[in-house]
Amino acid sequence: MANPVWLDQVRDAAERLGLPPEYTERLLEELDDHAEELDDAGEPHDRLGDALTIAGEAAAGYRSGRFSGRHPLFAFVLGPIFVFMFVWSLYTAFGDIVLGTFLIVAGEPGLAWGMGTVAFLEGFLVPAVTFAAIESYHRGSGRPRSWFYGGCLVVVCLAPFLVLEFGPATSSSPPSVFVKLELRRNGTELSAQMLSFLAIGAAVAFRSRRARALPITV
Amino acid sequence: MTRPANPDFLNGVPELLVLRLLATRPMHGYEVVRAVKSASGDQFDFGEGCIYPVLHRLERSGWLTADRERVGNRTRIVYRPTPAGLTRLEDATAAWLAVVRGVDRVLGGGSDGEPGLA
Repeated sequence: MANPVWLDQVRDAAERLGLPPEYTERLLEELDDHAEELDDAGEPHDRLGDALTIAGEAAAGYRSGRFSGRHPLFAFVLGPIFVFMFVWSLYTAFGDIVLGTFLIVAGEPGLAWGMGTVAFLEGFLVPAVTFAAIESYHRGSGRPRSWFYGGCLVVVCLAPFLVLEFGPATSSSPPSVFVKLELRRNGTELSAQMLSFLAIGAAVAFRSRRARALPITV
Repeated sequence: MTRPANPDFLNGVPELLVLRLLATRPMHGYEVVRAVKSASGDQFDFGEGCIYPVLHRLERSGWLTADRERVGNRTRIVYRPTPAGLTRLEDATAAWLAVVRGVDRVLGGGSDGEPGLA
């Protein structure tokens, strides 16, 4: 069996560099098996090489196979903006469906409930889905977590300027849902929305950090 | 008209060696390292653990497959080249031989009559 301190060094370096735990586990398993072979051959374990070099090589190889690993600036600075816009687009479509459903089920008096529901869920669903999407492609990127936090920060800074609105209803259809860019919002609104996104982003990051800290069995 | 990119020199050599050796028979990481050392006459001195990132990269590129196999009382990950890997081996070998021929010509004296460097 390989020196546990050496394996820990590889594991720590791999985690710091952003390699997913599943991949790190496999790498450690193979290194451990290699160390056993060296034992059988009566050769020293230092033939395996430097822990940091191996982790660095593994990270470079892992990143080279993924767009988000090769182009982190694009993936975690511009990417979150596109993801955020896409999630908003989906949410407006979802909002239209919710309002239509309320209209069918409860008639015109139900529209107020529908609008309330859409406005209420927006504050949770949009940030949660956005951050989860960024976390998902960060997980496969092999980049350090700081890139994920940077991507979340881009969204947190952009979020307060996008506002959910309802278009006028006609006699036969419910009000449409749309998002508008509002640059001149007051400080309280800006802070409240930033804080709400920040809180949900922190929750997603905390959940992801726990998931990534899965015990590695090797 | 696009110009062909400059050939990689040592970049890609580990992949070429690994594919070549795995084309002879499936092996796990330790065996690959031993085969590289033996076939090269111990010309390469490297941290043996660095073979795994190379194998994983080739696997992700679709040039190798990795299967867990029970050998004695151990489970090992054994690598085999895929058909795409064998094609890649042919291409990489041809590219490498072209580089070697070019370097040989420079070192041995070019066709313009200039003396060689060696």
